[in-house]
Amino acid sequence: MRPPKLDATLGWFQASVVAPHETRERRLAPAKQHLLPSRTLGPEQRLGIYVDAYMARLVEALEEDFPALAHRLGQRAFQRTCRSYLERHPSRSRSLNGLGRKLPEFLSGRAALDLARLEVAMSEVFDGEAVEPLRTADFARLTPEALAGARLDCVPTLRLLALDHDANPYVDAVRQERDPVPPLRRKRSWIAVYRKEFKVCRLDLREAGFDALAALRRGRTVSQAVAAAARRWKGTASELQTHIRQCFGEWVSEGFFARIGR
Amino acid sequence: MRTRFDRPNLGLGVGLRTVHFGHVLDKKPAVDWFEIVTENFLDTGGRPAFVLDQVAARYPIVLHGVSMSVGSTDPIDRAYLAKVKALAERVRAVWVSDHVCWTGVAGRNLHDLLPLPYTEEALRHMVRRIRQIQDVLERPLILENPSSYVEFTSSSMPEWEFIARMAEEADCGLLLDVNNVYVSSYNHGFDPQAYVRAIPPERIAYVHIAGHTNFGTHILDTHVGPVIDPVWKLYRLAHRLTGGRPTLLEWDEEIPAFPVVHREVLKARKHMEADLATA
Repeated sequence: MRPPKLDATLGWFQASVVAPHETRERRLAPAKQHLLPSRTLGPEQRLGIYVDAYMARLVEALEEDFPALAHRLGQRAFQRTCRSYLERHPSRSRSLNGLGRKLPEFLSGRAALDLARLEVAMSEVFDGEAVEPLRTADFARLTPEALAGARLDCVPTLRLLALDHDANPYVDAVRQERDPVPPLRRKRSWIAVYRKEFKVCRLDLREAGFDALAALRRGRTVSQAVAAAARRWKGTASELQTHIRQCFGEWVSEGFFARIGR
Repeated sequence: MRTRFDRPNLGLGVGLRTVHFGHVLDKKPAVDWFEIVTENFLDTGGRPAFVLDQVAARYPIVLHGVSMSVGSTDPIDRAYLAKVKALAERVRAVWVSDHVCWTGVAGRNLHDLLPLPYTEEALRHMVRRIRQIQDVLERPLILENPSSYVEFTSSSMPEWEFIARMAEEADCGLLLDVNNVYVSSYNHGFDPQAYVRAIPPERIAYVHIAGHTNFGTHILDTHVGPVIDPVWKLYRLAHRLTGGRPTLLEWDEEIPAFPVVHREVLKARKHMEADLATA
């Protein structure tokens, strides 16, 4: 009898490894048709080593990227979620880095979604392209008028998130293995995730500051960004001016901007 | 006669792992060379890339991939190869290596080193693809014998014959992992010494050693713990047959402090001396 073609053998093997983790019904040849027994294990048991390793490896990779989400859902629910997610979004990449990028789209609960979005942003920022940020001295050359009309390109390692939960303290506690972990409070929050000296950092923002920063990221001028902040601001104009000045100083010192455009 | 795989011996190296980044940068340990997992450095502009550039400025680097999927029946991923080539040039890699395996078909990646049937068709397929890959990389490809947990009914030759013929016909180098030889010999019931003797020594570019986990019914190649004596015995045999090759320790689970890992690979010296004493 002629041996099966290589592509048929590999196709069968792959399908047999992933099938036990998926809900889709498949008719596959039994392992004994393709595999030999060893002195201690039958063909199905030998195949089972690959079956188990497949899901364990990918869940472990997702757990590394989403420790707070895993903590929130609990081990069993997290694994169930990963399994369903991987059936819908199997890895097609050479690297595991981006495996969980679409996980937030897959979650239904708002709390879980907020944690997942924050943890995706942290992973993206960790791996993002390194760009030398502008320093305070780079802005000192600009007149106030020139600065007001300037557009500022943000570094590629900046993400802005508006969440329905106060996710930062929860993520901190889980990642620092603190016990107990504080409850995940329902509270509108605005976060900048960025990288400084190769460390991923998070900065809590006020809504006005978030809107200003988001406007800058969309390519608006500094004065348009200030106007965006003003629409949210509930204090006086002078308080807003002070707040924006403080925020801007902090954003520059944290390295949020890469280039001054026109 | 020197071959293109017989280069000045790099010595005793260690797999560079994230948990050791700080130690390696701060203490600058007296390691002869480092091997990196290629994919961990391909799509990142963050700390791994920064650390790698620092390490590469001080130590020789070998790229060791897990996703080239040479045995797959999918088209060769030229975009991936271009990234590997660029990384190899950036860090002036001494070698670029991967495995005799496949990692997925139909566009999927299972992120595992999956076994091939050892058939004439698979051999021709591997040889053809290795030649194509070497043309793209413009350097020899070094392929490692895998640990495996299954044997295909369709195989028509033992793994050592497949690998020896593959290396000769594709003109590629080999990374002889003596721990993998031991693991597979336990799982499939073959003589590991016969395996090592069947591999053309002049094609062996470097050697891997590692620990593993024995479950009684089978062994998993977990890269955990120290190297056991039967694996050192295979290492001594490989040393005798090759006349000495660069040696690299892999430790990937329950990774201890860097000095512990380093001490483990330095044990190879004792085994090289023991081999010379008994030669």
